[in-house]
Amino acid sequence: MNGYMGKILRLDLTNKQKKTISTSDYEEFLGGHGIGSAIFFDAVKDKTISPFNPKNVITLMTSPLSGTLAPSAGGRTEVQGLGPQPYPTEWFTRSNFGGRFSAMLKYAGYDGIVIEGKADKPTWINIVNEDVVFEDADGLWGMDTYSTQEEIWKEVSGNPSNSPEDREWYQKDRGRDDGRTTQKPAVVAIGPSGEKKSRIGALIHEAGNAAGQGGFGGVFGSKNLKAISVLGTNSIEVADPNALMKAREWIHENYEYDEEDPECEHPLDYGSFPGFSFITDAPGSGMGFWPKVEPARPQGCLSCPKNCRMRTESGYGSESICVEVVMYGGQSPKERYKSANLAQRHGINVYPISTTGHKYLYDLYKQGFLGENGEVETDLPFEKYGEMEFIRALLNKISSREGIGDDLSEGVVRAAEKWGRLEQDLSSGLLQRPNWGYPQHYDPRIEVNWPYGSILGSRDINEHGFNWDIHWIPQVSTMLGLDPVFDAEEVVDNVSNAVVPFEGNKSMFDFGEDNIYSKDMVKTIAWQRYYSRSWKQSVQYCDWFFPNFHNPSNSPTNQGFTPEAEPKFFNAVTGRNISFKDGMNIGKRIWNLDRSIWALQGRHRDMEKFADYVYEVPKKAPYFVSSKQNGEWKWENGKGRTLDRDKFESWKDRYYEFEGWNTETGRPTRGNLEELDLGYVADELEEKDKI
Amino acid sequence: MSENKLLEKPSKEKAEEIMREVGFEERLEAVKMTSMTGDKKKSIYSLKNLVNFLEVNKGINPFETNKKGGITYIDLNETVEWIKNTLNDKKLAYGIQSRLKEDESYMNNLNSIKPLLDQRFEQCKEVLNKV
Repeated sequence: MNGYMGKILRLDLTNKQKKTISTSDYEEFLGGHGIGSAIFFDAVKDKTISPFNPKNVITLMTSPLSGTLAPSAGGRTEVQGLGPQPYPTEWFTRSNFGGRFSAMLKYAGYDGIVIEGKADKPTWINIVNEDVVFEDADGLWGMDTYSTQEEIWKEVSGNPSNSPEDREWYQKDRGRDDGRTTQKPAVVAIGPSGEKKSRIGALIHEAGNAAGQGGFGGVFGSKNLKAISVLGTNSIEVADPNALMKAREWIHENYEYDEEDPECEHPLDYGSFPGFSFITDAPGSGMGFWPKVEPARPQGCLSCPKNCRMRTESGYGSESICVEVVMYGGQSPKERYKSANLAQRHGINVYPISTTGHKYLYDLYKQGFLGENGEVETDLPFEKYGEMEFIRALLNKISSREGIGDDLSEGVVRAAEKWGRLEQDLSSGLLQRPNWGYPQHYDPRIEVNWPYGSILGSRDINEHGFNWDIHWIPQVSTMLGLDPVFDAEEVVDNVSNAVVPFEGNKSMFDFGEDNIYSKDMVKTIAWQRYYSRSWKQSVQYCDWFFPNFHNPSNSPTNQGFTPEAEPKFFNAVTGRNISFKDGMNIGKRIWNLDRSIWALQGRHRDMEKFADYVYEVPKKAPYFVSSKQNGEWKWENGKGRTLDRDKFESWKDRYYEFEGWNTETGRPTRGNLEELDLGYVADELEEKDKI
Repeated sequence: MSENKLLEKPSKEKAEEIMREVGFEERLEAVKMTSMTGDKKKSIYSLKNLVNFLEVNKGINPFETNKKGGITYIDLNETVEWIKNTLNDKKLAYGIQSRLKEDESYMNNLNSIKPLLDQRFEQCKEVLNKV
């Protein structure tokens, strides 16, 4: 099959052994997440082990589109395995990072890497095409993620310096025809936080690409694995290059920004609010999150036309775009740049400590609970909260596990549990962690596709597909006191047109107080789960670009490119001929495979409950979503809402029934698994008495 | 009250009271909304916190590229009460209340009161000789 390199590298750190798996054994799962889940299922016999057990298997998987011109899918890497971050159970979970690592892995000849075992001493893996070497990382242990990458670049190239004027061929001892390149190796590394087995340790690639959620940095640390470096000089065979180029032109001409006016592409004269550039796909949209205090230019992952990040003149904050850029507000812009950089260098997953994390710590300090004379003693400089000194001290402590950092390195939720605060603070909402210990993202009382998907899975879903359209469009304009830039019915029409195989069901996007417990909302969640597992996390179209429901560049209908684009690029590269619906069916299969792994870990419907504040504390701020009221589509304000506990339990019944799962346990059944050609999975569930 | 009319400068004692950081139970709850992180609760413990928090929204258009992207939200009526009863700055509270209009949008109301908050903050800093 084109697009695939044909083999997956399997590395045993315990025995320093390397072998390959044939990708064709797993191509039915598309790529990325699907293949990762299938390999994990086969490779880990006891799925109840600790994430830090050497038998835990971590996969880093590419997509058949990695390294090609497919928009936004060319540079993403899916990471899976047992993760130490989810609370209270360390679920099999996932993360993902952008950049160019997956492309370089393909150029080296591999569709993915499977890591098992534990090295007897610090190790890094050096992959240059067919050469795979377990290298001694004694000299790298203790280094931050940036220094680690710089050292590896020098080591692989043989060049003593990374300065541009000294740059030479990488792998200069090779002949031109053996594969020389001017490209640096693509390196993914952990920092000191991961080395200390932090549950919030991240994998960092280049300056700001991070696989943060899940705690895989800590798992790398537990395996004594400091970094993986990849340098490749092969190319990827594309089945129909002409179709790929035409598809790229089609999406550019109809759905992307005008390159003649790239910074000001937005539907109304609102300035470049990122909420709209997310929709219009203006480059550098994420730059709106940074105060521009120095020259910068847009930057993106390999093949991405969106270029949501930026490179700054100073280098501070370069390539950071997600929560790290708003991790710590209140200080000067330069300090915001620096604090993001600092977190990346330590290799810390900033999401659990950003906003709701350090804010929670400061609230506890104000209560007299934390501090030099508090119930939990700490010398964190709370009097400097809001200034650089505080965040620097906090990150240092977490990274080194010094003092209170030892508790916080386990994550704020586990720290709160240790301090005897968890129950009361989840109940009052002082600590906003609605599901599996992950921070509240979008409101779980109103925009329910987000929390429902999260609680049925293993983590905060972090999938913005519907969110731009059904929430941000009305939220921005309403807060500004302007008429909504698009009316609710037009947006709901465009979204519902695209949600094959449930197309035309507008009620799926009625987030009114009653409809959020309906059968329609069952389909909303099912669609999002299947889509994410297939097109987003296996084919690896980026969350910030796909799906695309409502696109002002495509006037006059403003209809986005989903569901047409997804199979168009996939088929052009692979030579397969699958439909969007075929992809959704594969997504359903992968979703059920994941669900089975969680069942083997002990998942039961009684565990799928939100923190008490979601049911008990009304939403205080305005929060707009699409809703049908008295026969008319409106943007409804959900302020004041809570989630109804009993109605949510009834909704779970409906969802489990829809999937064919056991409504008493929430686990897959033999019948539904066999329908999905997962009979072998049912066998293992039966053997372990989990079906 | 017009925007140009300044509140009278507070005394040193009053400025200290207005600028103090209040306790946990006296905090003002707020929400910061950004598209990556969603909406997140924030705790406001002082006038300085409040002024800085609302800085994100400053100006007619808070969403220009050279501003932080996001919306910071406080309940304006709660804020008036908090300034009046917790910070004990009745003049500022009255000034704000007189500018709020029920049928105006959140952002327009915020833009009408923000200069007054900024003035008060600068006055207090001046009285207390704080840079």
